[in-house]
Amino acid sequence: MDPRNTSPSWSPAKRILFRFAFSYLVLYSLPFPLHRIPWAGPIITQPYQDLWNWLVPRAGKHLLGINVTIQRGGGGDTTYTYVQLLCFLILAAVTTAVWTVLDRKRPEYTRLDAGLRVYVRFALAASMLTYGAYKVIPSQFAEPFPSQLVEPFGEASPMGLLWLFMGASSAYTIFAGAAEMIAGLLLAFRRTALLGALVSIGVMSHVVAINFSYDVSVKLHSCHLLAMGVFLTLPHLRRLLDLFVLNRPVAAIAFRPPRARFRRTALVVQGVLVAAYSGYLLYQSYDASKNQWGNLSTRPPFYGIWTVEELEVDGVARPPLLTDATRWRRVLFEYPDYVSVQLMDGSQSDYGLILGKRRLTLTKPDDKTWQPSFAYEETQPGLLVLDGTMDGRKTRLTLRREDESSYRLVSRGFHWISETPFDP
Amino acid sequence: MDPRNTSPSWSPAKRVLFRFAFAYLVLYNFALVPWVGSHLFHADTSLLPNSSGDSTYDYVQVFCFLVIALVVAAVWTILDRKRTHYARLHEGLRIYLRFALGAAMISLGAYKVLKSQFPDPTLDRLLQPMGDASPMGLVWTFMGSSTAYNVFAGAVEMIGGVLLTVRRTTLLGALVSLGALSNVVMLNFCYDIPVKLYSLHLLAMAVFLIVPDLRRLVDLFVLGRGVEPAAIQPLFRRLRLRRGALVLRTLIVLAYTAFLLNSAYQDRRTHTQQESKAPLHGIWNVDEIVIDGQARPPLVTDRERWRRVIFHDPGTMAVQLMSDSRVRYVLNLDKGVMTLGKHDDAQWKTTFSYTQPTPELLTLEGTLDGRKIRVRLHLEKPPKFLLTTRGFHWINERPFNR
Repeated sequence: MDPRNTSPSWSPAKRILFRFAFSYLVLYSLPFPLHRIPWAGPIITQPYQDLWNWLVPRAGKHLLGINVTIQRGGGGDTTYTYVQLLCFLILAAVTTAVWTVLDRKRPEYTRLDAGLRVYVRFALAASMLTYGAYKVIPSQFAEPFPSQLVEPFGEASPMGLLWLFMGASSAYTIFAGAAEMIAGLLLAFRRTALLGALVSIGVMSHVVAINFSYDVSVKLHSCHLLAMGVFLTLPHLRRLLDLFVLNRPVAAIAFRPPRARFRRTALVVQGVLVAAYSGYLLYQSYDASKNQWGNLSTRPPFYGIWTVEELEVDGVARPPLLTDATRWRRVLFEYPDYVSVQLMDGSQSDYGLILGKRRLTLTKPDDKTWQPSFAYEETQPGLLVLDGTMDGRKTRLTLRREDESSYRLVSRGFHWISETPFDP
Repeated sequence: MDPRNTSPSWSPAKRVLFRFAFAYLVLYNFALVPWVGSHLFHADTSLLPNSSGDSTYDYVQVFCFLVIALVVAAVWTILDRKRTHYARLHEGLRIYLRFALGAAMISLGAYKVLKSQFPDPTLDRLLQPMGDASPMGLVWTFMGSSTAYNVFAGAVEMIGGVLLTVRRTTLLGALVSLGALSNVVMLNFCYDIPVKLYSLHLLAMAVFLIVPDLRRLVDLFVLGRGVEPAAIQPLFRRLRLRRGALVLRTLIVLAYTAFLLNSAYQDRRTHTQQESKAPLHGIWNVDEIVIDGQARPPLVTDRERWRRVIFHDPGTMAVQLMSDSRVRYVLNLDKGVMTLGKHDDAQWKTTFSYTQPTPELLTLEGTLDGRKIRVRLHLEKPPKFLLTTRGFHWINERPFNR
């Protein structure tokens, strides 16, 4: 049965709207699915990315008169992304116009519409699976870092507070990720696609609300994912209304059956591909968590919060007085190659760190001559003595490791019974 | 049409289960009314931290409900062996639960939409190191720092609640409530918020309302089959009564929603008014502190010395120690005498005398934990906190994540 022969013709407005939606959604989703190919994806789609990197700055300059810098990694709510979206809109409008002129006589696009829906469905599914996987194995949000634990709430940015909030509970992060992955998995199969789209709408509305409320720079992309969920739901609006509001008989969803011979094989292949891709994403998240920034990474030596108990400059002790604003208060070891120092006035600065066997050297990116170097020794577990020269003066520091479990956020844990809320 | 004549008979297991569910859910909701009344409508959790919903008392109460419901189910099963089904009673229970859950969702939502449940972070909170907060304190600060997010979360809950009160949209309302409550339950379990039992019960009520329609949901959303409309039995046979019930329900729901929005608004207004009028409001830096006759220099290693004293709302005094850790006291000011108490220890009490020679200077003198303390403080210039001043940005060349 060829739907071209049976479908009723569409109104001109609907046809034009469809041409525009088709052009815009395809432009927005490209180079999907190529860039999703494990490992090879980013390499083979680089020419396409280069094309935009060439076009977007020029569009910014000539259309808007602004300079657009290309951000590494792309995405986010950068000027680049806004200008690129403007290009998508213009291109989609032009395509629609040309298409409308050339293809006046076609009465409807039922088949192309079905194809577009399959494309958008998988594009959205892949995004939901990715966002979900990076939460289910927590790597997007890592456990609170030492520098976060000692920073006052007021000095965090709203986005920083959100990151701490998510990072503080792996269980909550896994819950949020599981909801996203479930939506993605449901979308990947035709029969459960509507349910997947509805779960996506629920989850993505929450994400959009968070991104707008906490100044998270993924506003545009999350809005697009939400819109894609809505787009996939639109043809079923009548059904949903009948079921949930009017309590009328709900029409069955007519799936075009694939040829019987391939039906089972196709389903098996699809299942295997979806499972393999989900597994790949989970592995990627595991890899990021282990090798980049996450909970599973091997912590560098001295990882933690160290209080500067004693500081001697040229043999004169500088006691840890709050009034001595520039004295070091804490040293925070978080990454192998840099260290954060918190001063008595609470401000934090980051220094490059070169950690040798016995010597430790600090660097500043903007001042190559500033390179204080210390001999270090852990005289007893949790007690570190640094001896060296800084700013031309003999400096000796005694650092004591703070017990991280003394921080309530980390140590509180789960309680079935609370006689009073623990909310100090 | 009388459902008693038309409904197919239920299996014995289903009948027993229903009797138990009926007994338990009615018991729980009857006991709930005073609890919600005292906890939600009159208590601001940040002011009155004694409002745990997961105390030993609550667990024992739930245990009692379980035992009573079991006994009721057993006796009922023996006395009422011959009845083949409870279609009508089930319909009645559904109506009861719809309104119980609907009312709970509307009130949860109203207190968020008007940002009464999660007020703006207090000054002492903004100065507290994030690691010093409890997980629950983190959630309160997180929620408190965005009005927009509260409006979103509250609106979803209110929409779920209102949909539940309309019979045709019960299923949709229960599904929306299920989504919103799953998130609430997870928050309560993951961040140690003592509303675990209550939120779990609300979630279970949503599930109870969805279960009869499970078959239809699976038919449409998994099998792609057509679905018959749900058989809705009109509550009354006479059209006039039916219309009257509809009007009455609509009026009650509207009035209740308006009442809750108003109380949430009043609560918030009282709260902000109290804050702005709080005597000594602000951040006070400890210039000099003498403990047992000994002047204590501002050494960060000194575990007893105070760094700052913060007055935000009239009922609380927060002390920031040299470690930056925060200690809160219940505060009562009266003509040069301040009485301090502890939130979690009603017996504990101490008094300080205070003088304010100029608006920017404060002295305290008294005894704390058996030690004589004399403090001289000055009012700090209100700092500009990044968290409260960052605002909204359409464009971020880099994620502003600090």
